[in-house]
Amino acid sequence: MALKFFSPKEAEILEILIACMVGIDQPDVFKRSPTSEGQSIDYAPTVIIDDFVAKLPEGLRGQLRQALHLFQWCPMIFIGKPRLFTRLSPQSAEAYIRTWAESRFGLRRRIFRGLRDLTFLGYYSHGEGDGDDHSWL
Amino acid sequence: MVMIIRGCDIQQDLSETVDVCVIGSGAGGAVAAKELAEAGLSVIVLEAGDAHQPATFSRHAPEMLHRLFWDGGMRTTRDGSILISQGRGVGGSTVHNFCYAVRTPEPILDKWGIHDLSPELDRVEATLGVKQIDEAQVNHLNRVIRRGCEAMGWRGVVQRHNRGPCADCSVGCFLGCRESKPGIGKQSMDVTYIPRALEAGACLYSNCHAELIRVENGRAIGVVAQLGKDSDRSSSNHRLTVDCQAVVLAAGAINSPQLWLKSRLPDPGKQVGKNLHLHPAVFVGGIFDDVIDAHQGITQSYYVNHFLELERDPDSGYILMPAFGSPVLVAASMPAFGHEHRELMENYRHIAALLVLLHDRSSGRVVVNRHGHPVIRYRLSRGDRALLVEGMVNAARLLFAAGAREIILPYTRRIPIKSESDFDVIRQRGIVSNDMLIASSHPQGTLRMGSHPRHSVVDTYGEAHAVKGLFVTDASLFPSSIGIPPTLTIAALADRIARRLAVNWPL
Repeated sequence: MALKFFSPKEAEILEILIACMVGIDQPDVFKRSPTSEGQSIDYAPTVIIDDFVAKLPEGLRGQLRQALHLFQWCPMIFIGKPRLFTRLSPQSAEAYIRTWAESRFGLRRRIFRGLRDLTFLGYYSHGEGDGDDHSWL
Repeated sequence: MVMIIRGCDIQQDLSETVDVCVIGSGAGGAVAAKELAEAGLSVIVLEAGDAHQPATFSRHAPEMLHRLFWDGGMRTTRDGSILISQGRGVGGSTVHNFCYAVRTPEPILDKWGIHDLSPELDRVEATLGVKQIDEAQVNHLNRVIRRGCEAMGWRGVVQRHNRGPCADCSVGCFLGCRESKPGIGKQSMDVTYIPRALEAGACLYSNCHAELIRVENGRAIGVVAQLGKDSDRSSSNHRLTVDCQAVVLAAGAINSPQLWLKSRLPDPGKQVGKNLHLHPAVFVGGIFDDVIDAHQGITQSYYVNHFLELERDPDSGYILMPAFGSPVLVAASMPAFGHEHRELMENYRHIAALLVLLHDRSSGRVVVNRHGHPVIRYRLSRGDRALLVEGMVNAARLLFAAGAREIILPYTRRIPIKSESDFDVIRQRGIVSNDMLIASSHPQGTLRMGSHPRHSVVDTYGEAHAVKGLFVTDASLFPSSIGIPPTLTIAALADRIARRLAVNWPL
């Protein structure tokens, strides 16, 4: 896939994060979708998010990148597992994300909300994106 | 000759000399431009965003967020707790709003010291084609909300909209109306006032970001703008220098004070950027056994104004507005993550939701950082938090009365509410920053009008106390929170200020 902002490593973190946040077991379900003109467009949520973030103002882009790296590197600190986020089991990943979601610290909750809603933007924008398209169900 | 010039197509520095330079093309700027041009003044309008072609609007949220909103729709208060949606592009926020056309309540006008705004409101309504929503256009979501409101014995009303015949497309309003053209679909500024301003001789530069208001000897004499930067981030990197006798600032309640502060304009009362009100809003949903399909038809045609008693208290209260959107917007409003969130999303067609929109007493401030970017400081006061909680409880009561089997609260942790006996959870948890989506679409008040320079930035006809020839015509003008959807009021005040400016011309 052609990325505009995130590195391949960052895209891998993002893919796992999307699967955890939206509750799907197969992170690559929406890789390619036909358009009404019969062409095929890469609609992977990661690609949608990458394109969206690439157009954001520089400061916001930088914050999102930092947030993603923090998420990747902190399982040891918050759940005591000496692994990267992308190497956690699904159960451990959920427990780890919950520590961010329900943290006493506003900044951690802010990072959780920002990343959660970004993954929703990528995932639920698949297809036509209007309310009559329920292909995400 | 009708002229819209795309700043990103210009490959040289330019200069223009006109009577009036208008910064912004939303509800405030478009109206001012049209009135001034029709009065015979030469007018140039500078718009930071794109000149939209509504037929090209898609339903792809990531694309439309970049095309229609500042910062791709991700602008927030400094602590990240409130998401602020502000329109960018020709037509400003009128391109993405839901077309509520509500006249300014008398108690608010009294509080602001404006005795009669009726002639201006009448003119604006005529130009925007404001009409009562037909009963047949009230969609299932709004009928469910009305059913709950009536069961509670509360007051609510089917509203008036600036909307022509429309296809009732699903979730179309928020991402831009593809039908929009004069007399049809959404009657936003880009298809009403702007074409009339251009026909009267105004010139509009899109993709042209005002960077500096020039002042000499206490008088506004021009504007310097950066050409380029469309939503695809292409840029010409050239400048437009405008020499003029008056500047109309209508860039919205965040960007107008930002430009004032960046330009280091006089601020003797230290009021610029203060008095920010946001109308913070939170989501409360209900899951119904029946299919609601809230995404179909006009999202907001009715609202509950039972808890906004401006005659008794012009400074507080809230309204309950039907709310829904594309799957992306609904997903972001829901609690939880992972399988728990997905389970809620599987009820998408069975959800009716309300926004509790607060008439806020809390006030914040817009400042600029060392790069000249706006920083938005705002904290909800204890009283406003309590009122939002009360609003959430009443929204839940209404949804139960309408037949909901479960209430969805916006907290990060899913807390199912199955009956009224569970409401104590809401009261105990309250409003916690970054634990729920709090949204704002109505920033206002940051260059407030008033008669005294110590307590206000501009006079009651919008002219800056400290800079002659500098006028403000956007929601920055509001001396206090207005408590209702503000578009009609912004446009009426712009009409009032522009007509007075034209009558007094030359300055």
